[in-house]
Amino acid sequence: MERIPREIYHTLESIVGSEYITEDPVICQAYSRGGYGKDIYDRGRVRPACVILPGCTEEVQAIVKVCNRYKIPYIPVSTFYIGFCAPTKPYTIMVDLKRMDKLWINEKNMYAVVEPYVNYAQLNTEALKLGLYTNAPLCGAQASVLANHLFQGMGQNVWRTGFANKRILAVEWVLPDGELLHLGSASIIKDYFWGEGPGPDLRGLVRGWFGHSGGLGIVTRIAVKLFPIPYRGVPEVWGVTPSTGFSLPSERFRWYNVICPTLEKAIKFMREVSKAEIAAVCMRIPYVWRYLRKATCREELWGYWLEDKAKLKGQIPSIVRVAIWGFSSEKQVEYEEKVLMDIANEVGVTVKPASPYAAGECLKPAASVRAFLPGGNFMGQKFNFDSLDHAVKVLKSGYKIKRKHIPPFMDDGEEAGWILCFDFGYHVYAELDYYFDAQEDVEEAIKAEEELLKDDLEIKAYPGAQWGHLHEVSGPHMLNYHKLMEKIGKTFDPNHLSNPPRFIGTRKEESTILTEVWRKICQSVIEEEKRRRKNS
Amino acid sequence: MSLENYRYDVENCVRCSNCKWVDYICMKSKRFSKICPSHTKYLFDVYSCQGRMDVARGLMNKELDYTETVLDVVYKCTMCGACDIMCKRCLDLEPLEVLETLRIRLVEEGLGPMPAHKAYIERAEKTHNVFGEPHEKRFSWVPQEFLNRKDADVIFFVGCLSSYRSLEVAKATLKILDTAGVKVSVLTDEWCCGSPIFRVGDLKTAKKLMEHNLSLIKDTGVNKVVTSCAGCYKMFKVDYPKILGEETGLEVAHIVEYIDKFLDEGKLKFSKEVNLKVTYHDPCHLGRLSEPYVFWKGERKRYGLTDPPKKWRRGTYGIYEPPRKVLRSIPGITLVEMERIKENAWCCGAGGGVMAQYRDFAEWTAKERIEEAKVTGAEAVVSCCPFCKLNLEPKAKEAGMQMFDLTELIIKALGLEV
Repeated sequence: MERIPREIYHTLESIVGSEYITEDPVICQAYSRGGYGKDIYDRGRVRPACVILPGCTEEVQAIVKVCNRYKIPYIPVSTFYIGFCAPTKPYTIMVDLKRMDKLWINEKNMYAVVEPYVNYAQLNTEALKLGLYTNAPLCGAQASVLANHLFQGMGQNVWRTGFANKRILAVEWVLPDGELLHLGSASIIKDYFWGEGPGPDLRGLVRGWFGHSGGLGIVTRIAVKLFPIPYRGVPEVWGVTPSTGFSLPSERFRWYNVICPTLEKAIKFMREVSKAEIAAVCMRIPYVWRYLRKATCREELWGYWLEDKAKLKGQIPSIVRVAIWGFSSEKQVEYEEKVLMDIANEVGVTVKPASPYAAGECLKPAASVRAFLPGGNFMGQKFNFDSLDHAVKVLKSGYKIKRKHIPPFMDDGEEAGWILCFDFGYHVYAELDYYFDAQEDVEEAIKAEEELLKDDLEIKAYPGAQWGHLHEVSGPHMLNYHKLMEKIGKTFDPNHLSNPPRFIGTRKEESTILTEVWRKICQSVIEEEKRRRKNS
Repeated sequence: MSLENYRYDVENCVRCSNCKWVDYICMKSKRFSKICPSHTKYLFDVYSCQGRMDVARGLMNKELDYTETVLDVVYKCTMCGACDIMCKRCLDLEPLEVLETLRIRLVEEGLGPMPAHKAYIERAEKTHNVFGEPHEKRFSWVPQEFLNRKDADVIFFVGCLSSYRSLEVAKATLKILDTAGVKVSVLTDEWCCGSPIFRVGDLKTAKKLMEHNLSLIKDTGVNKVVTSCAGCYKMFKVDYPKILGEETGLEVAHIVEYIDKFLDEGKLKFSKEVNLKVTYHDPCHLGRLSEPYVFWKGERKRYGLTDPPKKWRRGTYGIYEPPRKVLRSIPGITLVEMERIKENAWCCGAGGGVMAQYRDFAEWTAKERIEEAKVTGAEAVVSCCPFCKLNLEPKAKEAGMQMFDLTELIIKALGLEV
């Protein structure tokens, strides 16, 4: 990897200080690959040329401006994991935001202001002390609150907390060219309490179904809503690694596994719970997760799973996880529990009390990475948002595709997948997972991913997964939205420097800044700078 | 121990960052939410387990050269194993063994260990202790009747630090064993257990010391070994079989396990109150890393399944409860817990050769731990390892706190003196 010209490096160094910048290849190596979807979403990765750790928004701005002046690609990273953040362009600068880790909670007005390196475990830990909480994503509580809110922001608690777009308040955003933009209340009174500000609401640009993955600048601060929870404190932990949990007072918090003989019954049950507007959590969990959660190792997982799968003879039940929280009183728990039982009886499903320690995994998911346990890698697909019926349609259709790849994919016996309802079932998220060998099945997984997206397009599912090269597949079927994204990209990031080729990979004309071209541009800028300084 | 043997482990790090944080379920505040001293201090991801996996991968694939930075990255780690245990909450990988193997590889390449390590290794080779003190001084504090005792039931392996620098721990341990009626022996030809040497990757020298100690103990015909040092304890219990490739045939115990047993059996009875509010610091080598070594020779098959099935050491069965139980049983003692405890404990900063080579890092790590201890309102920090005591004590004093090894409090509660 070629070094960044000294002039530019020293300029960057002057922004953060020599302690917080490096171009040492050994240190840069640790930023050269992706997380989830390893060897899939980080294909074509290269080692970045430089890593820089800004400590404040002003430093981020200055870095981005330097990158624009010299046409250097940059990628913001924070807590990582699900990352479309692997560098693929020469001379890329990684902007590691971990020094920006401030968290403020406004208890009275129930919101938190976070910087990029605050994760959900930290936020919910501190919020619980004040009788507040927010959703935590199923990918794990290590996820950055800020980054995850720019994405879908899904998780167990979305039944009540809703989609991420409803939880974002004011935002501080360093645009791809380095200009600072405040959204919502922060735009006029430097207070983050509200998401609306004068003029149009630009939150639709800063976030999205799959977000911009750092492809539209760097969001440096965001206010997110918190919600009341009938508990205040630090829950006592039960167990020791790897089986830990915490419970919350049973008078106010109850957990249930609802065993449904068929997917259709599960959907009917969820619909009725939705109509009754009860519960704090209501989601369908893939059956194999019961094994993933409890297995002490990979071999045990496969052993127990294969044994039980054979016993079930293809009749894998649908499990719906429900939580009832007494937000207002203990009587609320009693009432909702009665309603839940009535619904279960009417639908013909069985409600079983679940472990009270489910509270821990709900508020601070710690076992999520076990998704890698079956085979070393896994992928989620579909990611459709619509209704319960739609979820069944896309998952069942997807299952036919997935079936064709079993083996080599693990046969998890699932005809569906994750079904998460937002806002009491107002809209519904569907995700189909497949587990495969991290070494041998990557090509097969990539093939399946594209087939599943094409299946979405064929059955006119709404709207179908989109990222990276998949925009090219889905765009023409959906009003050429990718062209609109290209225009947005060109407007905000004319040099296509913010995490290229992300935001929209179809910007081919700019997405590859060739080494020679870049060097010429760079040199001419340096010469110009020198001339300017000499003259002044 | 070839790095290539760990290719699967290195390549299957999923960059989830579990290695950087305490178990989310156990997290009690944002302030004390991190678990890796190295990553917390040096910030760049390469100073985390995830980053070191990337370096290992880079070296194996010849994408990286062996440079000074590789040495810096590999050795600025206390080898506390927190990353290993946090990773294993979800995955079947061996991160700590990768870190150990990286150091061995650096030594094989003629690059490691670091100068301060080389100096103490040289001293250990000459004088059998890392301080370069005369060997005779090692047992000069031991009453004659305990030296090479013929009717011994138990060997007390004292260790370098307790023999030369933390005599209070050594004397207290011997007194406790004697008071409980144990026929205990201290061997005059005890050498360094090899822990500080193996920990920095010098396998060859460590092996010499280990073979000597093992042969010495076996010659006595006694198979019970007790230590008061968590480092020696883990070395005998875990690393001796791992490195030598066979069971040692020894029953290895830490003194706290014995004390716990003696109290249950009535062999020790407290007679004095020790009026003190204390907090307990879990030594990494007594806590999360102390599960017995499990031999496994096999291969990864499809889906990464191990053949034959491997049993994993995940830190579940570390020595967490005995010290707490013992502390609670001391009259007058009030035990208050820090936020990061047991498998989630923050390292004292002394391990992995850090105290010798990177003094500032060791002190910074200790300061962080003492700040956590101070928040509990405790008057004193108690631990079960002279290395932890040595590194934590100055920072504890600065914070107006006392620092004890558990054996010292036991002596007080027994109404004894050493």
